[in-house]
Amino acid sequence: MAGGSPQPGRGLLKAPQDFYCGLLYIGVGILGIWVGADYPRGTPVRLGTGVFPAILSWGLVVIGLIVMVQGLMTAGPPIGRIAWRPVILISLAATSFALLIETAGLIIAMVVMMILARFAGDDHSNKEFGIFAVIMVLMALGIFVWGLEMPLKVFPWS
Amino acid sequence: MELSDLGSNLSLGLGVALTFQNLFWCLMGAIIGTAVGVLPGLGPVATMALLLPVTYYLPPEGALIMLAGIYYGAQYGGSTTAILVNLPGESSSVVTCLDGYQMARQGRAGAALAIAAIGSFFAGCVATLLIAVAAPPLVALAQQFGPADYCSLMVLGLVTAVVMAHGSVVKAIGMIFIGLLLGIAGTDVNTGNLRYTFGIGILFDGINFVPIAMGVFGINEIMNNLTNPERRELVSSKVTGLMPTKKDLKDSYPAILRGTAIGSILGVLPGGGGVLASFASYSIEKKLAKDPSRFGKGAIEGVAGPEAANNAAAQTSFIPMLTLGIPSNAVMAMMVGGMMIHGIIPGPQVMSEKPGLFWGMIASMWIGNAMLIIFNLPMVGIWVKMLTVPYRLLSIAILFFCCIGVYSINNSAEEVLLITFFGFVGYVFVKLNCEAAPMLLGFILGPMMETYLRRAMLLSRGDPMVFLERPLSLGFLIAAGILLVIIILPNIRKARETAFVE
Repeated sequence: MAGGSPQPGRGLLKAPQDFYCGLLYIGVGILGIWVGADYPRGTPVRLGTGVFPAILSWGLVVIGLIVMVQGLMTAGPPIGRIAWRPVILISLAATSFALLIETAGLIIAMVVMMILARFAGDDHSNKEFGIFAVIMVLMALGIFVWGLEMPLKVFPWS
Repeated sequence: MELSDLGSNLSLGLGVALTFQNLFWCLMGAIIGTAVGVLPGLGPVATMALLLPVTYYLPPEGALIMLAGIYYGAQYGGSTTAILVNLPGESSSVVTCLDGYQMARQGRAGAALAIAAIGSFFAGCVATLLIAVAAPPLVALAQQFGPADYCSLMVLGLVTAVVMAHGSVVKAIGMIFIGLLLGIAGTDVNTGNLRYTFGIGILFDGINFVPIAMGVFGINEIMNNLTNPERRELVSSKVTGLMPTKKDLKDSYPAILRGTAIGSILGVLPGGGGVLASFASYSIEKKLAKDPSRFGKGAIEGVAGPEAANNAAAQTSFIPMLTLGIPSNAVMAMMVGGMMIHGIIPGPQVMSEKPGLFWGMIASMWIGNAMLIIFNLPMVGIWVKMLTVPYRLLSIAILFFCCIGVYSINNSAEEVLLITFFGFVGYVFVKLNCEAAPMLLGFILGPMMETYLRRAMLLSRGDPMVFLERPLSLGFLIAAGILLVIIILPNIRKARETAFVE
């Protein structure tokens, strides 16, 4: 979705950021209208569930159109390079934590998360990362399990 | 009469703030705030989002005192990094880099740090007093508001927040609308109908504030900071001469006074906050100076004024949140989030219903500022050491605290998935140059606005003209309209000009 021409001011898309932003707003607005179409409207005295969402969704479509037209008329900066590595790896790290915390327990969830997050950034030396990971796990156990006594599953078998 | 009221209110507040527990939370807030202020790439908004789950375990007074401490502590900490490393540890200390770093290079880091702390302390004290004086009349005024007035006031607040922020106004309004929509997702409190839940169980109760704030600010900041690695160069690890000379004080006290005044005024305005105040103060000092060429080369006024201004603004931005219940920036949205976790609905009723909490929090700001100036200067060495922690490790730690923090609120792994989603959404917004702060304001205000809208329509028997017939409501809407026209007009003109050139 966020492709677009990287050069500003060339061709039809003068400001790709604005154009795609407008497109996004319109998309969210249309989704809001479409999903909210069945919500009861009520009466003017007793506004129903659907009134405020409808106002907001239509408003968003209008705003989106304005932003999109701006993107076609006035030159603006390009979207810029998308840093896929941190975006994907940080997302994966958080997702794996979510999936593992209740099944494999805190320690495994943490380790998997940290390994994934490690590759999102600069290179770590193995030694530095190892020491850091051990400290983090111990700290997490100290604060959340022993300190705050949160009901966490620590080991896969516990 | 009024003065004795002020006295009794403040002593009530001091009574709450000076309990051992609350002193501890105040100190914790101030220290954590300073730490995140020092560290570039971790702002007060993300930190407050990180700590919201922890405040769940605290009594409400302690929670809010600590959250407030994080905010003003970050203003102090940000200046340390600005002066020593020439990096703004926090966005409102951008201008402090200009002259503060030059002073440090001339071997006057100690004086710069001290004057920044003194300026911040003075401004913090004055602004806290200002809150205490301004709050009761504002609350009294707010209690006269009908639902229609409230609805219009929220419109004005959101518009002002957008106008004061940088970047495209139209795009920011779009972000507000997205925020409002997100805010009303879940079960409609009035009718019990479900809205925008897409059949996903965790959305039935509405989207929680913490995952959205953590995703958009915490996770997204990690993604962005890892993309743009920064270089940190310490000017010197040893800071000497922490006492400013008599001449330094003489040079900077007018700047501190002016900075306090500017900051106090700008802080009250929605969307204002510390950044704008520090920029305004710097440009005024430069204009008033006998020899403006000294600025940028280590002028002490260029440190004193903006530092006073950003701290004053940080304090006075509490005024609309405390009295009207309307958050004026992302940090105040966090404070509202903190209140809601404890079941406190922000608004004018907080002052009368929970006077201990209200005045305790205000009094704690004064204590916190005092703690910051006493602890911070001697601890500069520790803060400097902290700057040597590489971001590649810090980012992993932040990520972990985001995940475990969100998980701990409801023991819900699905909510951890939500922060991934909102982190990604936040990244898309950054790429499209959309600011996330207006979305957060909309998110907080969405349900409140709908409730007031419904009440207004009910009271007027379905006549939408009520918004134009009530003088207060009409006034707010006219003010919002004028602001929008003023800000949009030059944009239209510029667009036309570019179109003509083509």
